[in-house]
Amino acid sequence: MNERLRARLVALRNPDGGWGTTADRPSNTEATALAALALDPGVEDRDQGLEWLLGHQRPDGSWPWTEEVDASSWATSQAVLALAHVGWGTDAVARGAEWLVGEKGPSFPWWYRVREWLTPRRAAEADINLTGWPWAAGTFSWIEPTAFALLALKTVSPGRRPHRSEARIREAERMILDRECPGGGWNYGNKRVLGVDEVPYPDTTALALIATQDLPAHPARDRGLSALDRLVPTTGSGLALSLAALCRRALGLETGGLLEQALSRFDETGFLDDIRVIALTLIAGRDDAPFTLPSDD
Amino acid sequence: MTDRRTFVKAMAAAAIAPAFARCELAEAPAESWTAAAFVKKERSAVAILAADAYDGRLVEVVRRGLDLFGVDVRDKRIVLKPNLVEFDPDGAVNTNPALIAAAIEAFRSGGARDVVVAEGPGHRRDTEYIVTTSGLSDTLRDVEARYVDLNGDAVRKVPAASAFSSLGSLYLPDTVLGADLLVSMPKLKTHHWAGATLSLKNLFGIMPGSIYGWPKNVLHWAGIDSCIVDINSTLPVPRFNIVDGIVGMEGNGPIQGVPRKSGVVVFGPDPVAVDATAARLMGMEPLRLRYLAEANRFMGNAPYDLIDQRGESLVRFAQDYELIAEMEFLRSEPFTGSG
Repeated sequence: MNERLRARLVALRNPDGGWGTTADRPSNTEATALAALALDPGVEDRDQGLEWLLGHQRPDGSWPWTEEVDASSWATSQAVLALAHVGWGTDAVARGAEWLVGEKGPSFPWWYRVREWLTPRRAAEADINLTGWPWAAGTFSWIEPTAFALLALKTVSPGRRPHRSEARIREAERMILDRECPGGGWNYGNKRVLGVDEVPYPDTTALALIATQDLPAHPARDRGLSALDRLVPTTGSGLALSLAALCRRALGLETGGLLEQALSRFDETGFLDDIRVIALTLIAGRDDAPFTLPSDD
Repeated sequence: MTDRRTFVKAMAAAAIAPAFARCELAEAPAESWTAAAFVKKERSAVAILAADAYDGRLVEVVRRGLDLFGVDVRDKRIVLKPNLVEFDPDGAVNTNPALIAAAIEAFRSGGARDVVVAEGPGHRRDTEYIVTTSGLSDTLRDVEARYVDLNGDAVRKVPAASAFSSLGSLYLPDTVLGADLLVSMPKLKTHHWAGATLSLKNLFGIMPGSIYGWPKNVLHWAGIDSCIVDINSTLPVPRFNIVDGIVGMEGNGPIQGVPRKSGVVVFGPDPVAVDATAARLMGMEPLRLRYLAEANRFMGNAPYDLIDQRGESLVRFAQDYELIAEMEFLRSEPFTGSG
């Protein structure tokens, strides 16, 4: 049933072996990693995507967004995830994981904490002692980059993870739980801003639940699933549907027609040729379940 | 320049800067821009045109707005940059698609070679959702215009032309750099960190989220006001500005505020003058907006007496938009048109 999606994904591949955000855009790490995860082993397009990843790792172990950007990208997580899942590039995965573990948001100085404490209406309510992963080095931690970093590190087999991984993983899990919106689910990373409750989004809620899938059952998971049930039908986008399906699979739940709805949506909008969304929908239907961690991990 | 009272209030505002943003510089050093690199005109012109509703009459409003400035778009590639942030069926978050459609029609009828709508939504990463629910997708289909998601566009690294922030260089999207004319089309809105989001702040949306994150957090971290100035000073593309003030937003903007009808569209080539006028329409003192005060020093003209007013009277349409407590220091005295 995914042939239309698969054909579109393959058709959108760039001559250099990678994928861009959409047609006629330079290959980038995120789209290429997700596309590689979406295709079957042995398929030439997938292997060329993986080769693109291996060929674009930076000396420090990270990946750039594209060739044109001379900086490490948050999408390093997705490259590590893809290579670790398919079992390619053991050394590249190790160096990528090492970079991830070393990549951290800022530490807030004591005066900042005092100022926040004294301010009548706090700008953003969060435990700033808890750090996950930022969009760019040295900046604040957000749900999406944190979720992908967690999923990537947890996909690397425990014996191959950098030695500081466990502490980073535990802290980032606590960060995600701390950022839960009032009433459940996750926003991009805030729960209250200037005294106003933030609302959850389906994509970030699904990613937060995927990243914490291996934690023991907790109320935030139930609230998040309820939020997803509520948000996905009203959002209806390919991204919301595919990530909700991936989330439910990761938690061992039935996908309940989400993939069929995603395909209908694809027929309607083509997902605006967003390669990330096409790939995520294909990943959600894969038997090897790249976003589902082994139950004994 | 900033007086002591204003400065103290600005510092009070900085005290509640977002937890995800580093504290702004209290006062940018004088060497943040090179005087020789910027030629500021002695005077600027801004037009306020009345527009009561989002309907087919807007095409004529936009045509008139362009005509007032003699904007020549023949054979040019026009990039329209609306403000597309979030969908709220009861809100007034985004530049209304009807105004975007009217601009497309006006530029095409003026002889533009190509008109593209481009935005890098700064809040939601779900582009399909925001483009479809906002109504923009249907509108663009009706007028057969393309949408480009700047969050994933190809980029080029450009040295920053000023140094208010620590960015040093900017990754700018090819779609914008390839424009013969970039038209910033913001909503007339309050903003809970910057005070107001207008033509200048709207250009946060050209900065690709793939590099600057969501909600463009890298720019927040580097200082919102500072980045607004650096982005606008650096952009090497001719500019025009069209502010959707037919229904604006007051209170806790840019997303959670409340619709407020102003019944105007504001036009002009100088974003500083346009934004100063738009701020006055919301009952704000423009030079208390920190980024506008800095931009006024070298990029354009914010003082009322340096702006040639065209179209409708500012006094007729100026209102006191509701401001959150942290932004009350922006409120001006009742506007009389004398300063």
